[in-house]
Amino acid sequence: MDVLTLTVFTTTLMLLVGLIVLISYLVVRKEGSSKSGSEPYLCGESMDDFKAYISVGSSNLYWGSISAILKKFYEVLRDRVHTGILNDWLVLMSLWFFTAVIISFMVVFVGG
Amino acid sequence: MVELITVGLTPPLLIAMAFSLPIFTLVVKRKLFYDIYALVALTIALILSLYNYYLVFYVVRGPIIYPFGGWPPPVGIVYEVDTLSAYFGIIVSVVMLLIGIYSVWYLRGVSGYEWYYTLLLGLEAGMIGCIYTGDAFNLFVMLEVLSVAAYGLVAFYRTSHEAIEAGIKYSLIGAVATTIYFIALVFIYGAFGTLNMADIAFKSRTASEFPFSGVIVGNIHLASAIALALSMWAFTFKAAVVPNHFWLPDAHPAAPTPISAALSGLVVKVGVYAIIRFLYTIYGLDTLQPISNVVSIMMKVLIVLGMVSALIASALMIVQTDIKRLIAYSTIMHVGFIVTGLSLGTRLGLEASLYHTINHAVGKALLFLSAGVLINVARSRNIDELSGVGRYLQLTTLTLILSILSLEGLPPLAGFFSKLLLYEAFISSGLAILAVVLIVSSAFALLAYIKLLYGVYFKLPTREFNKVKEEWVYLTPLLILTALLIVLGITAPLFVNEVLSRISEELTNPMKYIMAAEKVIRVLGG
Repeated sequence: MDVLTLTVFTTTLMLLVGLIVLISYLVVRKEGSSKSGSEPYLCGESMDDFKAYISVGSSNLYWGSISAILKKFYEVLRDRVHTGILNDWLVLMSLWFFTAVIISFMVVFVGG
Repeated sequence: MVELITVGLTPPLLIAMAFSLPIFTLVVKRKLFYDIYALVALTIALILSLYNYYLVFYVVRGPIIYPFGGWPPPVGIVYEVDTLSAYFGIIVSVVMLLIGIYSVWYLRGVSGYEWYYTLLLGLEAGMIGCIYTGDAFNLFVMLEVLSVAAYGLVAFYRTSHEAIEAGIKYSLIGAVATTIYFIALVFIYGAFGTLNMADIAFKSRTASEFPFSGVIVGNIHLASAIALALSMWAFTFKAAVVPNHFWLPDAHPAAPTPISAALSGLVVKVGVYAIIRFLYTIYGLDTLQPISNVVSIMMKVLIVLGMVSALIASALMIVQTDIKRLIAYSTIMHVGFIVTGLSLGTRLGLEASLYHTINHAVGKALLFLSAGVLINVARSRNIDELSGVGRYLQLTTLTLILSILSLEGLPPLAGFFSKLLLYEAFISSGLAILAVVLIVSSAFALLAYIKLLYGVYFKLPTREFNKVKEEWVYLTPLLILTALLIVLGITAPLFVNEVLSRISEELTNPMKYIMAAEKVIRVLGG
């Protein structure tokens, strides 16, 4: 077996072991355990900041534009993407990872 | 022989000084000792980096190599400093020394300064190691050295929940990133039979025998494709390019302010450096088919990611209430510009990115350090609670404003010229849309900076800051960084012609890098 095949074989094996562990965990984990994973986290974006001051503060300078025009945009960007939750990050980071791997495979095997 | 020692000495010396510092805590308790100790170490690193730069650019006029233990690669590790490494080495060592001076002021009354300095020296050792190494595996080791120090520094305030959470999240994903880079190295070694960068660069271009390591031992096309995908993922994490940027807006504000400056100004640049090294020296558009196709596709993907980074980060800057978080998002935006420029694959794009790298490193360090003074006085990072504090710190606010103007791109400050060069690079590559994104992102960022300036200076103070007095300990690094922004701006044509064009020439034609290593290997290998 040449070195590259051995490397691919070993890596695939590691992936399989990881998948088995993951599937086993998903099967045996208790019902009612946290699925969102949001509870322990303090960081991330929050829209509540705007309500914190009675007078108009510097942080509210563009509140009108943001709430009138860009509300939906910021809702997605802050409340869905930049949540501060590790699980959410990993989903998006994995997308870039698999895209990079698939692209490189396609270039080698299909041609680019 | 002297040049060999200065190249090989810098990272091990810093590591030795970092590791031996905790021993002194058994006998010395005075903070002054640790201040002097750290500043001496950082000054030595600067002198060595300056000397290496001088050798590479003016004496040897080519790469200089230090083989550890006298062993030829792939048995031994070599450090190979070319114009790119020398350039990044200078950026790191200058800014780190200024951060060290600022830390003397910042750490007054803060406990744990001895651990802070240990990690700070470790951080610089890691960064210089990553930049100087000519070995892809040693890059992994040095990335770990840099990362471990960075994780510790982010979580320096152990009683802050936010700092602990940011540190844990940063370290968890950071460990995944370095592991993925390690897997990339397994594929490279499995196919090329070496981890020496010059050796891989030679074989990826010719597929023929290299001294001592011999011929290729596997399918270099497939291995290179996988390695490029994995390493780009890892490096975009280090550089905080979208979508691998999530750690940065949490980690940078949570860290002590001088560390925020180091992370934003320098640590992300190590990721940028690694991307350049992989896309231009180790691999490149002149490599064999289909490796060159993979490089080309990766560059296109990085252009998209860079522009998305700039747009998303600049949009998020507007809605920040935490001054450090706002500045942290600005870093993601600027890294987006830098990565887009270097991914164009042209010399102009490279020069623009390299120029913006130094301007951003200096400008962002200045912005963070100036903001740190205001935060220290107001005891808050909230822009509303910083109301009018700038009026009591005139010089600090002046440096803050100048750093913002440079980052925004106002002439004659340095940021204007690098943004102009980026703009030209985008247009000359026929990608006008990138120029539009550059302008739109800068406009968004301007709105955020106006908010910041309105808050800290133009708004009336909501409380008294009577006992505020500016001190030369922190003003010295601020003024030096300001002077650097002005000098880098007014010497732009000279700087581009004398420094950046040489670096871009070497990067687009890496044979000098390869042949320098080959010469040393022939001598050592017998």
